[in-house]
Amino acid sequence: MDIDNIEKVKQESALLVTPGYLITQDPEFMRGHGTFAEDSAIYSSVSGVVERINKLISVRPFKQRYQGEIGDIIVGRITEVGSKRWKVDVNSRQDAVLLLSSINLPGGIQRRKSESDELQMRTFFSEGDLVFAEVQNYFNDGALSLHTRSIQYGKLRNGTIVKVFPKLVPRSRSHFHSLPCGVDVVMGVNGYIWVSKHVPQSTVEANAEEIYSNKNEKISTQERETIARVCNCITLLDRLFIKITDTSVIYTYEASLGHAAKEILNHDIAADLADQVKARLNDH
Amino acid sequence: MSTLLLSPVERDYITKGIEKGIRADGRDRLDWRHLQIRQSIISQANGSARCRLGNLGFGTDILVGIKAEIGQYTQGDSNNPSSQKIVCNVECSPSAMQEFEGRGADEVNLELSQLLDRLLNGPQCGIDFDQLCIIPKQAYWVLYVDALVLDYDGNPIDALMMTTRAALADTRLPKVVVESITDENGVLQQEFEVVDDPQAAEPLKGRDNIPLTVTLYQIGGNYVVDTGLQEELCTKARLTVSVNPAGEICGIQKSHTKSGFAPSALPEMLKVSQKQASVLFTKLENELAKSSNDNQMDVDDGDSFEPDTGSTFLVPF
Amino acid sequence: MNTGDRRRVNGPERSVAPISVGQENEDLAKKIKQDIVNDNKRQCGRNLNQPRPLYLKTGLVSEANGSAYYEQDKIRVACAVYGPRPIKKSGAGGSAGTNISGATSTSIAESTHRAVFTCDFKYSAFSCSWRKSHMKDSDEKEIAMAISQALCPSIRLELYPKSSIDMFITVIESDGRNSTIAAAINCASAALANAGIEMYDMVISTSIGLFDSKWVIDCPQVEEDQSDSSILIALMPSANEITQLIQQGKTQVDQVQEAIELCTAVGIKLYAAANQFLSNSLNKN
Repeated sequence: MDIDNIEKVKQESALLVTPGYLITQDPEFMRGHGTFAEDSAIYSSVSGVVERINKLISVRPFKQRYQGEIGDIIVGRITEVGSKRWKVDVNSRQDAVLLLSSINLPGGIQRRKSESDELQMRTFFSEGDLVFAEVQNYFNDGALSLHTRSIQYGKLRNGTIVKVFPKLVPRSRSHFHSLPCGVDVVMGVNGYIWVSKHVPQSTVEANAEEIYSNKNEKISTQERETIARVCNCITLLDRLFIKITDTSVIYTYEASLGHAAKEILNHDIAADLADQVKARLNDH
Repeated sequence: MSTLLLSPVERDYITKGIEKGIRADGRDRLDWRHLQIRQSIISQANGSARCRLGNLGFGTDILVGIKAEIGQYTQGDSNNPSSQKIVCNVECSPSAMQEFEGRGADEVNLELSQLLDRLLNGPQCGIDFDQLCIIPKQAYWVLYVDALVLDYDGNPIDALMMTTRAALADTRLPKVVVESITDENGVLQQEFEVVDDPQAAEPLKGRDNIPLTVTLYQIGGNYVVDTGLQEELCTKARLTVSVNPAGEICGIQKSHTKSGFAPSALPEMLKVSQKQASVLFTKLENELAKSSNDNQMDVDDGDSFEPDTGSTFLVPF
Repeated sequence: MNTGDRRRVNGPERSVAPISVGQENEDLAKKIKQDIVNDNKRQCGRNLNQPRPLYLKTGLVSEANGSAYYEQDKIRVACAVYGPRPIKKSGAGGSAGTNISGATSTSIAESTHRAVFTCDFKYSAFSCSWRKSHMKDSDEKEIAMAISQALCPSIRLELYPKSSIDMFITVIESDGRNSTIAAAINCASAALANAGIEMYDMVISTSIGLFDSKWVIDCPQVEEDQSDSSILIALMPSANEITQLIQQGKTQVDQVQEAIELCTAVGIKLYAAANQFLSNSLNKN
């Protein structure tokens, strides 16, 4: 089926295509991401939704590994300690790189990196550690270069990770949310979401020396229950393909309060909650 | 590699949570994840089942197919009727996890196969082995139990045993007619013929007595059942206890290298597993009853646009 | 032509004792069980809770960092330990491995924090009633896994990061599957002690078989064939920790408890005996 009439595309809220789908034969359009051109016709190369900005046609895929952009806020896991750099798994096609020169060192933000720092890199980040970082740059092969030069970035503590489809986490102004239920959520655009106990910003700044600590603070049973609930809410949104934003998480959380945290992922309850959340999101 | 990495902080979070009695996903120490099971999903096999232990469409996913073949008695085989009539093989598919690629799954495969073999070959299995004998000291049925781990999210052993039990319960053994002829030397010769009619196939006797396993994972000073992948990475020691419907112990196996158990804790652990096993038996029973109802409904719904493959393992979501 | 290994003299695939009078054999086997159940009498003349006398000697392999030879009646086990030494790069036999699901090999990432312990277990070709192939079968691989699970908790692996400790166990002669594994564990633990590797405690292992409702310690093959159920336990007596527990066959919960208590009591005796041998060997040097 040929869609020559692009105006139609505009009217329909979403045109779903599969790889090899002929989008248009009109030579006046330009091909964007997720498409390829052959004999002046534009075909889709992924399955997703067709998007058009003026003369540019692109297809946004539903599910794809994370593709980094400069300025993205991500959560990653250290996989390797090298000389002056760490390799970080960011759910992308290449492991990202975190240079020793791109992190804050304890004790004075503007300190110069010395040789002794190189020797004790594992005291900052070791294999398995989770980092909250920002994409600084990317290399030709697609590998990202990260930095953690801000007080809110760095090692993640006091919580647990939830993995979701990266496409469900939209890029937004803020990726660090303190939810009203007393839980902090770091929504990495790469689909790794960190849910942890709320620690006031003032405490974090006061304990600048402890940014690389491997110890959790005391977390009460109540707080654990809340964290578990938020995690399950995020998992639910992921499995039911609903955008994960602070709003949708809060809505799901509020809707789930009638059930115990462990029941949220039950098939029937989850479907019910999802309907409620979708309805509420559409209202706004 | 990163799926098998945990930071010290996550480890601490999981361990402390279990200490307090609330796990990272909100479950209590002895709570199980959602269980789904379907039988008769492979038409080429004598019996099959697929089981998923997890939430909302993801989790540990195991498929067991059972093939019955006729084995010949060879000189030197043990006379014990229950030996080597069930051949077990477990394979962790590399599609389940990157780490299973190449030889990565060898140890896990070996461990699971041997455990299954130990539980099934012997009187503790519950199956009536006399039924597998066609002509004594000549021919007998060999049941090949082949398990495939399709998706991995912790606690493979318990899921494996549940699937195996369901698959064996689903197994139909073709009918065999034995004829006795006396040859010219006056020696009694016995011959047999397999009846092709699938209607004549018989279920296994004693299939209700097949045991299940309950695996207790020791994390910190406490133990939990049905761990997810992350919890499994924090496990210091693991105790698998196999229990049959009568509550008898059918096998015990400790595993993991990091620590052992205090002897004083063992009696309690055995009792807990016994209790959990009866919980599992009920769960499995309910789930099987539910799935057979579902199948009935599928047949009625003939106008569906979905291509009907009959044996699809339908997953909600 | 010759499909086997031409460097070896190949025997038949599997050989059997040429006894044709099956019935007599079966009667004999039944008698073994009846004697135990009715009269508490064992063919070997031991009490029900009496293990075979043991002999232990350390330091027999000059190249190895530690070694031991262990004998319990017909069971003869030799074992050598190499290490701590640098980890051989993966590819040369050692798989990268995963640390999920009780697998013994430690993942590469973990080896930066603790030593990797590997164990190799082999029956010699003439150790069993039939000839063992020179290739390792899955049974031997599983036993190797069970042994490393029994020993690892006793070794202070965290003191030797980035190193490997490699254990090689050869069964020269066996008599009863479980009692041979138990002997191998005892022998291996002695070899680790001989190698000077830091440990929390020695690991002592015992096996036990169930006949109707009677537990019998340390069964040789003839008895093991008749037992209804069997248990193998490895424990660290001073640290009071059970490091391995494998049970096979049908039992009741309280029977398992009884067996554990019996095995612990016997284990403590064996522990004392093994320690005696070890300290004697120190005195000589």
